[in-house]
Amino acid sequence: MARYELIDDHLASLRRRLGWRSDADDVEAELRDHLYSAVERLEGEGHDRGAAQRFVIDRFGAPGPVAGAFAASGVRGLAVPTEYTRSAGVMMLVAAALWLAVPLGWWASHVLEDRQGGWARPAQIVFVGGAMALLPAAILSAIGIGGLIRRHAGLGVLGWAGIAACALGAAASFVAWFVYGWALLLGVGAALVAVALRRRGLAPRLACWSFGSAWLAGGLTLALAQVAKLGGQDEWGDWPVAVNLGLTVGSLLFAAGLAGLGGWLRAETPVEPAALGALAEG
Amino acid sequence: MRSQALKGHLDLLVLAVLGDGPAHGYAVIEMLRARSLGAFDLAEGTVYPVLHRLEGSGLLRSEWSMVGGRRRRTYALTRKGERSLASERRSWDEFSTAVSNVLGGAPWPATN
Repeated sequence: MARYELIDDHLASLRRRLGWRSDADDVEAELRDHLYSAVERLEGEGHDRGAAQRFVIDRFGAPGPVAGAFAASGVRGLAVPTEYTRSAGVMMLVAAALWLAVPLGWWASHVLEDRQGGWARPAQIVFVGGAMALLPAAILSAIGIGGLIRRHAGLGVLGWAGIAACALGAAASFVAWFVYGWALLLGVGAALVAVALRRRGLAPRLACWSFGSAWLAGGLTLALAQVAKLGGQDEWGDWPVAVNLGLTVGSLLFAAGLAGLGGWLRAETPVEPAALGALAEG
Repeated sequence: MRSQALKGHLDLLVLAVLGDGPAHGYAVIEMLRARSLGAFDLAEGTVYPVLHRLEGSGLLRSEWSMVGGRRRRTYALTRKGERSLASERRSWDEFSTAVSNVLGGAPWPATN
């Protein structure tokens, strides 16, 4: 098959603008077939190779307007990256860093408590520091999930049930010590959102599963650690080591998932507002 | 022809072209141009989103094949698309007849 350099450059430019579509490969293949067929036809009629390519490109339209027409081809359920979804990606990255701070603070507090031989000031302050990271981490995660839902043009009932559970989990995390409550809500919510995301097939798979399984894996770790009586019970009947272990597994996986999804959202080129405006006007 | 006026009827025109049988995007655009004697001269790349939208609405279906070492997507009307074409064609006939009558300037009947 002959190669047409000008056509290939035009397609590459279009491809960059259509990279947000899950079917970008198919669209590129379809447009390539069109452009190559048109040039071959003109060449067959005796036109010069370069002139034929320029004529075909001129008729086809510039990359910007064509990509805008693709973005505008269905105002409902518009699954395109925007400045909002990009910002949501940044929030998810910040949330990922905060989630890492939570178990760090709690482990440090546990170690301090052991050294002090009791639950006193320095250990309490470090514990509260970790707990203070929890609330913004949960809120930013919930906002980021909202961006994910927007990026996918909605995720159906499953997605909304997921974000509702995540929002409840974020609110419940205000009571930081009630790990069982907020982690369960966040776990169920994130799992529902992950399943809905994978059904749409846009977001990166590994990040989705890490995000969706984080708190279920954390809960399982906690349960197993309690059965194994890891670290023993404290004077209030809690299992601090088991809880910290579950919290660590959940936080690490959740942070990894958030970082993967957030990085993906942030890296996408937003579709120009003008293209969306044109769509809204029909 | 003004492109805005054409865009308003593009769905019907694409369905009408495919009413004659399956075709790939390039062929659809060439038939639109040929049948309109060159009057319908859109930026060709903007017709593909229309094809995709009609497929998303269930009015078209598409399938891939290999032609000359390239992947080619061919579109065809679905049953729903055939029904929609028939309905839209009737509506257009009624509308265009009414517009022609008005533009033809039939005199108002005298009352006295």
